[in-house]
Amino acid sequence: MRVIMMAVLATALLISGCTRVQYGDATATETVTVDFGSTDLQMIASQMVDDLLTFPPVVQMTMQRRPVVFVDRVQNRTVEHIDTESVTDSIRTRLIQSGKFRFVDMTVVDRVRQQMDFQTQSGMVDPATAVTLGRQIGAEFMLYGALTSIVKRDNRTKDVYYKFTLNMMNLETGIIEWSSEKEIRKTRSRSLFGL
Amino acid sequence: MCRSRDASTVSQFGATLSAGSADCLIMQNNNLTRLLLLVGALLLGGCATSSLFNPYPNQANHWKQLAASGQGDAALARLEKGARGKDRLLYLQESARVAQLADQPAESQRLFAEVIGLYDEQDEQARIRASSAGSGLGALMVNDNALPYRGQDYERIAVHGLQALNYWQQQDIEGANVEFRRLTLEQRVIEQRHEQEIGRAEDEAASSGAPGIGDFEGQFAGLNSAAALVRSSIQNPYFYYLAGVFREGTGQYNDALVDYKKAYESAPQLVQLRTDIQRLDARQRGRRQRAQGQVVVAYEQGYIPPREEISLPIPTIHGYFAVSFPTYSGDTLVPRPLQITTESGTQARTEVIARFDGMAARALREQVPAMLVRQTLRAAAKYSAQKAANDELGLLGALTTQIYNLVSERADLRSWLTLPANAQIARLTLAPGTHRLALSGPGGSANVEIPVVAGGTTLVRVIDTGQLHITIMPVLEEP
Repeated sequence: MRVIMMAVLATALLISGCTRVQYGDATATETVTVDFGSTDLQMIASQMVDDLLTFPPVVQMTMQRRPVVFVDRVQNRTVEHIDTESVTDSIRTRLIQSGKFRFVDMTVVDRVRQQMDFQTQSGMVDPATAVTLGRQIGAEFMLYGALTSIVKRDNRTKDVYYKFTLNMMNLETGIIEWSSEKEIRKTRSRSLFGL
Repeated sequence: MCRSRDASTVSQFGATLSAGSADCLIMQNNNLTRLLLLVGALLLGGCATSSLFNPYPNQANHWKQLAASGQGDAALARLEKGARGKDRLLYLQESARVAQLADQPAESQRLFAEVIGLYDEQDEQARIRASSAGSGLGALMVNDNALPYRGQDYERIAVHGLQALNYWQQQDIEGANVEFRRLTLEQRVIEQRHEQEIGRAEDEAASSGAPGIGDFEGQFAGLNSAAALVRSSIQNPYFYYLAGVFREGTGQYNDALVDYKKAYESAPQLVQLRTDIQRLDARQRGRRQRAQGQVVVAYEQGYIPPREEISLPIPTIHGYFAVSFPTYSGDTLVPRPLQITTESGTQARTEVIARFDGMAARALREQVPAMLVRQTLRAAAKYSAQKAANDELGLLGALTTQIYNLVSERADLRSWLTLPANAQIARLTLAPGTHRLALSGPGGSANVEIPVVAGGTTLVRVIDTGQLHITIMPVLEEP
């Protein structure tokens, strides 16, 4: 009986043990599950950007000028609810950081218009400092793509294959100037014994 | 909290008993009696939400009635407590469906997401688990109700199907697409696993010497007839059809055609499906009907029946033991159609596409061989405990054990009970504009105004729980 009590006490202590918070490396490899995770996002973003910036015609084009691009969207064709905007955000940020491209953002157009209306129509803003309408720069290229997946699963293993495709289209000519693909394969086997 | 304490005590009790040899029992005579009484008291006085001693269908009647009469919030409040216990999965499934009945798609989506997370966790778990061995021992001494609820395959599929409708209702087309894809994936994965498991369970049952389902034909007659209503316990033609409607509406004709064909495989009696397949076939060859709009009525009728308890005489080496068993009775709710009348007088009626009651019965029928093996083991274990108590513990101990054995012998009646009994569909082709539809079914009648767009698809979802809950889904237009 005493032994049982001790065991119960020990278990209780273990369960109620204090929690610990620690900082980790944001770029460390994450393998908690095979689902789409931070490592996949970072791998895709860095590979896409490297690919685009080293593509010979693009190198040539960006030598003299910084073309204006807008990001359309990346279709999520997987079986998970993935925030694909977060992937394109990463890609866009890296491209801007490279100094080779400039971007316009279509997702904030409404809020920009609101501010412009306020500046030009409310009568509260000094007209000398108000922005002039009709001076925004039109995008020359559009970035768009898709994320697809194939999932195979049985009692023992789960295998996930992701394919990320990104294209850059010249809006005037309709020509796809650049395209790249990144594949990721992850397999998880269930352990035989565990808690 | 009170539930988890119960479970750990039970497992310890089980472990002590099964590990304790006869002389060990004598040495700990007094202590063990005390422990037994304590466990008994704890179990008998367990939480109100525990299905150990109050059968789950009785508890479920409360929120089923509340949800049916439009008091969704009261039903959700009742379910909340259970959603923190060991049967979390079950209560979350009920809550998510109740939220859908109460027209709260955002809340329902959140709850279903939690359910899907739990199922995913089950997939990730090690195949043999130390922590579940504890509750397994508890279940050997008590009954299957002591095991955490792990869900049924047909329920898991319904989770994804209903979740897709939540996204659709909130106009999240990409989210609905993801969920419909997941639905297809799960049906494929479960189908594969299922075939292997049934084969293995039958082999095990044959080699264990336990009685088979053939020995109890009379007792399982109702279950057999209910199970014969459907062709598969996994393939759900209703959700395939809705996936088809959604994909056709969003211009994914290839995928839609596959979905309709899949639905046709499991529900070949449905005339509508042949028309749908022909229409899509023609559309793929470039012929499209742009002038008119499609209206689909999806009708979910009644509540799925609860499991019932029967007593089976299981033969053991000590003679026959009466063991309680879950089953479904054969008298299922007879599907009745919903009549649809347009303002111009055109009439249509829904046709049955899926029998959830049949699928549940078939799923249970497939589990019976494995359950018979487990129940035979349990009968033997209980006999040994009773014998040990008689021999070693004197009158009080024997009495306690006997009461405990009697009370604890309950069949596992847990299942997702707010699912519909059956699902039906109808399709109309109408001119663009606003139309008035008169709907009339066994649960009452109602008039609805629906928008119809040229080349678009309008889904009217009607859930009949004795009262009609009508949702008009956002119109789908081809991109």
